[in-house]
Amino acid sequence: MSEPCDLSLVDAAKLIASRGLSPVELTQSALKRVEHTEPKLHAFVAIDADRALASAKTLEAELATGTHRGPLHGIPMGVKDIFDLEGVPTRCNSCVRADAGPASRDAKSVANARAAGAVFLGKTVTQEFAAGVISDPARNPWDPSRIPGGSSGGSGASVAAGSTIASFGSDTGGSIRNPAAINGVVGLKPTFGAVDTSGVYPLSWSLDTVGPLARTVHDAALVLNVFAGWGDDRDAAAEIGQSIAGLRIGLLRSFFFDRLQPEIASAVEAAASTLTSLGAEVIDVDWPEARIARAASFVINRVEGCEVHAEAIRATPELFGEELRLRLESNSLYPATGFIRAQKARGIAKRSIAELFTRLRLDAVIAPTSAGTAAPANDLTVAYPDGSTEPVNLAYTRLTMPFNATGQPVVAVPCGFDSLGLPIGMQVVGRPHAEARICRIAHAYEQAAGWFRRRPPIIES
Amino acid sequence: VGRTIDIARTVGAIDESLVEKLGIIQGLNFPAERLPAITQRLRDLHALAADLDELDLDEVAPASTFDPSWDEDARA
Repeated sequence: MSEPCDLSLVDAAKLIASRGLSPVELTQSALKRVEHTEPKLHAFVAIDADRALASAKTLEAELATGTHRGPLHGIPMGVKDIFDLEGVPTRCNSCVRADAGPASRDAKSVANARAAGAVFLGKTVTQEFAAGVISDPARNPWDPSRIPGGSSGGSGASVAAGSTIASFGSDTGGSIRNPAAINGVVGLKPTFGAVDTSGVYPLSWSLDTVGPLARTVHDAALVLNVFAGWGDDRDAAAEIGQSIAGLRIGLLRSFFFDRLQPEIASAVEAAASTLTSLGAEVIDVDWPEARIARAASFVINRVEGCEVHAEAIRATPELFGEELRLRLESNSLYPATGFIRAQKARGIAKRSIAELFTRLRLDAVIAPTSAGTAAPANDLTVAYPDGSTEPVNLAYTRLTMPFNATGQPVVAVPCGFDSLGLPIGMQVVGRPHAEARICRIAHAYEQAAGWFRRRPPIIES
Repeated sequence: VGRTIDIARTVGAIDESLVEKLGIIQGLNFPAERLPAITQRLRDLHALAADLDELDLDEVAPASTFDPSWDEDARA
């Protein structure tokens, strides 16, 4: 089954611009896919089909009068339910916000997408307050008995299933990259500070970033440009399509391959070979401070989150889900000096990765995104060959958190499937503000490897 | 180099009684039945943060920023 909603954003945008596809037709196709997949997927918390179709009709009328707003004109999108969407409550998947009224205005990135012609189908499921990787009740389109990762789990699942062409995500410890890997789509975490986070419910102010989940790297780059409000001076898609011959890429070994499902290790190594075959110079590198970067990121994330929820955890602790409640209650007792120490260690992490890039003249480093593939919803652990297991909240963020500490841009791209048919992801990490370079590398890999052409079975079932 | 903290001793010192008292100081009154789980989580965080204790951070500034400039409204 191939429908308009299965198109990439780039292809859909070309057709819309040439009047070969109308925004209404594309929105109807996405809504039909929602109807087909949602009984099993539960990727959305709210869908407003009437509003989406009304918006699509307006955008179609604009095209008829010669107005074309750009690549997002008429593109159906999902908005993670920690982003304010005017007229819709931001509930953050939490009983704490069960009585929240409709948002009075869009988050800045949402407003930018709306002005660029995006059609909002509704709000997608997040882990409670974006603090975790399970995103219940959303499920994985490759196997609906499994989780979609998180915290942007509903966004990742909807993009993979074709019910949105691209969706909003936020990434504080891996919440864009993890669901991208677990659902077999692309996730682009920009450089810290590159996208305005106003109107997005915070998790950890000094780590929060906003970015897209999409089907292809080119799609994600175009959406990021809109989220960030970049113009001619900065373009994440500027290098898309350029050769990667001669670029130097480090394959991060220690820490990133220490505890990993073997099929993920093999997939990332195969991806490194593909990059070599495309002319890049791929070398094994070690970043000994990765462990420090992860620890610093973890502490800062946990302690800042306690302050975000300081009032509610004291007044109505019973309204939080058990996992987040326990996290807030325990981490509120962590000493302030430990938090400052983590901030100092963050500086060391940043310096050390900068030194690695400079000394080895690297354009990017690559690493696995997640230590495990999609876990069953009734067994939230990742199993390793030595018989040990690790809770998903650690296994899914252990390899992503270091780059929240350093603030670097990262694009997570599919790099294969395990023997159960579950997606595997790879991170391509760049220098600060070098989104265009990592998108060039990830795009070249993606086109050569072709994993993005696979569609999850939920579409056919 | 670094602080000489015995993490096993640190984590071992975190018991339910301490957690209950720290909770009171923080305005968090934990029901007795929640104390074991909260205590274990706090131990876990300290254990994970032990990687930071090995570092010599005397010459390192915290990665926090403060901009002392005033916005336009306040300046007027």
